[in-house]
Amino acid sequence: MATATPTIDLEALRLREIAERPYKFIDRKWDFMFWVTAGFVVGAAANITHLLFAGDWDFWTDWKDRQWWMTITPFATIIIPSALQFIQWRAWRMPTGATYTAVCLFFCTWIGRLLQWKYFINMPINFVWSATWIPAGIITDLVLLKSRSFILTALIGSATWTMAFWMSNYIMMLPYLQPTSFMNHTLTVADVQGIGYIRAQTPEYLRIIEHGSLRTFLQETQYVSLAFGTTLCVFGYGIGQFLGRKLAVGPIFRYLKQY
Amino acid sequence: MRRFVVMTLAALLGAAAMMGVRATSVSAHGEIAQEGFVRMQSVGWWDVKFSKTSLAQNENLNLTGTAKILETWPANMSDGNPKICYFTVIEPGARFVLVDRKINGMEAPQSFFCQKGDVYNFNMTLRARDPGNWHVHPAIAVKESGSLIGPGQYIDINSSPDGFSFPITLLNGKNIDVESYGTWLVLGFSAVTLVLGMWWMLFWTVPGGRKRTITRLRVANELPLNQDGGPAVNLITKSDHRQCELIAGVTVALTVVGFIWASVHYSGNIPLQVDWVTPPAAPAQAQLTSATASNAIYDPSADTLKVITSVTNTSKSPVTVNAFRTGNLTFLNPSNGLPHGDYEFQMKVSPQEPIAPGATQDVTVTIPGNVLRQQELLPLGQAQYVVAGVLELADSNGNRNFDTIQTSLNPTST
Amino acid sequence: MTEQLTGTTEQQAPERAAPAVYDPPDIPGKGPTDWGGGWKWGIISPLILLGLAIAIRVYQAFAVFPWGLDSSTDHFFWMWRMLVVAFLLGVGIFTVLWWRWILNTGRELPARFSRREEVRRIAVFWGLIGATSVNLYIEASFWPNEDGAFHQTLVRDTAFTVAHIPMFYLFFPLGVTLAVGTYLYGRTRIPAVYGADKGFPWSFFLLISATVTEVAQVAMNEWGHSVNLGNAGAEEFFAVWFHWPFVLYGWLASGIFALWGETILRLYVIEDEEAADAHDTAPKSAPSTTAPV
Repeated sequence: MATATPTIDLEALRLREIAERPYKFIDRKWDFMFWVTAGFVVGAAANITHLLFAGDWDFWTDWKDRQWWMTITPFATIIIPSALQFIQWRAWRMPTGATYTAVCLFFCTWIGRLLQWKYFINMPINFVWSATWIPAGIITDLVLLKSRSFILTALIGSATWTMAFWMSNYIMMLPYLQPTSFMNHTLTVADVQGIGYIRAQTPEYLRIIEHGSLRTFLQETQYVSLAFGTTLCVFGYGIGQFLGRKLAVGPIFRYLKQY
Repeated sequence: MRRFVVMTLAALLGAAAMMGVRATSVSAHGEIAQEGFVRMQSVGWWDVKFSKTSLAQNENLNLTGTAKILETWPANMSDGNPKICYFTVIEPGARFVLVDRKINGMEAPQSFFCQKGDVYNFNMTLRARDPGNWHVHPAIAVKESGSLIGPGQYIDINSSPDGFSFPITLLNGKNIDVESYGTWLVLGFSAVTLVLGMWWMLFWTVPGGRKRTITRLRVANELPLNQDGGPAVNLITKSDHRQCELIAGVTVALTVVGFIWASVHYSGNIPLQVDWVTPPAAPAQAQLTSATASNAIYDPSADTLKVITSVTNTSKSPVTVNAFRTGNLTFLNPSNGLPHGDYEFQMKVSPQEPIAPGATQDVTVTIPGNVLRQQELLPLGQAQYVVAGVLELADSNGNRNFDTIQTSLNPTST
Repeated sequence: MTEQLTGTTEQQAPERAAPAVYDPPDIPGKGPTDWGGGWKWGIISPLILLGLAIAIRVYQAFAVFPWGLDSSTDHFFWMWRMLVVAFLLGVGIFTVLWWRWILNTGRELPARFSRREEVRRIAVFWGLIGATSVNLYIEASFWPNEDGAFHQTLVRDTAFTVAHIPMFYLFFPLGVTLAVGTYLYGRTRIPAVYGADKGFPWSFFLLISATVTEVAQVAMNEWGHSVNLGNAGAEEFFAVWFHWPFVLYGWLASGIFALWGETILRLYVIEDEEAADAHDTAPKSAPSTTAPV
């Protein structure tokens, strides 16, 4: 009687051998130097994109509103993580692009906020704190890991990016939305911070925030903004894919083909 | 190379030596770079007073004065029609906290609706925050035009043993210190998210031989983009999936639980407020005269600017010229008193005699050119040869009249 | 005479000896991938850049309030405007000297070098990419954060603000120096990837373009702020539209990833050659002396 022989995936075996092959020159120091030195440019790219597209909303508690903050920030901040997701999945099959970017961005923003906003011009850190993108990054990387699809990550990942960003940062924002009476007007603590801690060149009218929606859809303004923010985020994800595919990996396609 | 190093060091040492020298007495905050017409034609300032020049942390000072959006407001600023304004303070960092602001007696926490010709008597209460010697100006920010700065003053803040606090009471009755409120949550939660992010990253980059990075390119290159090879290839194992699910699960749990907790703990929250006011009109000012400037002559050899104005006394008492104000400077008629501070100077008035009721008189005020040049208020070589400002006249009862004047600048020679 | 001219078969051209293959000496701790060897400059140069940024930041802590607030004063001239001159001169001189050194020494290098040596050069190259990366962080994150903060302390009155001076007039041009210098190093030291016969690589084109266009964008930025372009320049809205080109040009720096990619692929080739050599020189197993059953 013939016994069934287990099928051996020779191709997988071959790839596994390549993956586990020992090298003479390529040691862990190369990995260390890559991750550490790339962190600077990744953080810088994420930071400058965020600063100049949506930075004002992140600088101050009295800009973190429920209409514009959630609409613009996800778009501005998904671009570089999307590019890094492509690069790190394409190159290493690692679902780390969004988290890596978020962690590097964390260091960039907090070094900036502490060294420059707090210790240089003496703004209190509870007024100029930076949002965090790390929970959003982790969940979006998980989407990529599970789906292995950039289209699904663009759609589902954008939604998780926006929602996770909102929920995780709202935790920190809620204390500043407590109402108080200040100068005989009902304002939030964040508004009081904005009035009290004087910014020479950010007069209050400069805030691009909700001025009271004409139609609040029965107080659904926040959720409408989140939904639209998600849509813009998908667009931003696409821009990031372009950067990753055409500018980062694209130049070496001719070499990659030889492999 | 050596010469360059020596020159650079010498320049830097020279700069360092200058640090021991006190700063120039007039310490502007950037307004000198605004063109003359911007500062002369836009806003007039008078009676700016700081109630104290030295105070301790947590003590208040009142900054009062009057600002007028002049009828001569430039056409190329805010499309010639200022609509939204904001009284603020120009200070080198958050040295004071603004705790109260009234415009024409009305509380104005945020921006207000303004227009050309309006007069605003402002009263800002500043709570001292950061010990040091700080130069502080009142300013009015106008949408799409930027900030127009009034005369400033050095203020000393001395430290207080208790440090600075900014107490307010929430509507739910809780007393908080705005200076530190919520800081623990911001720093703590941010730190926790950093731990989670580092956990994810270190998991994927650190462990031993299995998580080498750059050697994976070789294998990844051979796989279709939407495949990771599965456990057979061992790039991403089941254990990797489980670990990532764990980290992501902790992240989701932390976020959701944190969100629910914060929503309950900080219930009753409201959105950010936009509360713009229309201040009431300032008390009517005395209308004693009407004035029209006819010429402003700058004489480079004498370094003087003569502004000639035809003044008609429409009141029943004789009036005299008290002062001419332009930008954030005040030029006083010597008969009106001596200048104080860094923004007041003397001028000559001719004729000195009061103007009789019903009479019309050409009045010439002569202003020292060096002051205007130092303040960049003499618009020679700029795109608008214009002089503007506010001429103050008063009668013997102390009633003051402020006339906005504007005329072309005509130098006698270049 | 004819015989002399045409030569005879006995007169053979002397054999040209193959050029020697340069192999760096094997000093413990200074090998191609040791921290004190190939990676040395990858550690030192970022530290120099960060140290420079921190030193300037410390200087600002003493020199900004009050001497950096009013650009019309003598103090400002000596303590800040002169710094612009010093920075530009310094970057210019460093650029000329460094690029010249790379090119001159590149010409003197042996034409053939061992794989160990090439690995060492790739490690040095990665160190230079690292320095460029750190410079990009300093120019695109460290100083812009200060710029946004500093504008809240005064009304902008000059293009040479205390935050702009190190940002636009030191680290922005230094980015160009580092990017081009890294290319020159690759072109002269890693000919297999970046040699002249390979043409000008897209990776470097993008990275160098990013640094150059960022410098050019400074001019548009200052123009936008000074003419109150579209009623947007007089107020300090950080997300103002004429700041966006900074971001778009910065995206071109994505090409930096291709540099890592290209050199990793070259490392694979080197490793394959090394493995093939090891296989060829491995002692062959002795032939069996027993006949198969």
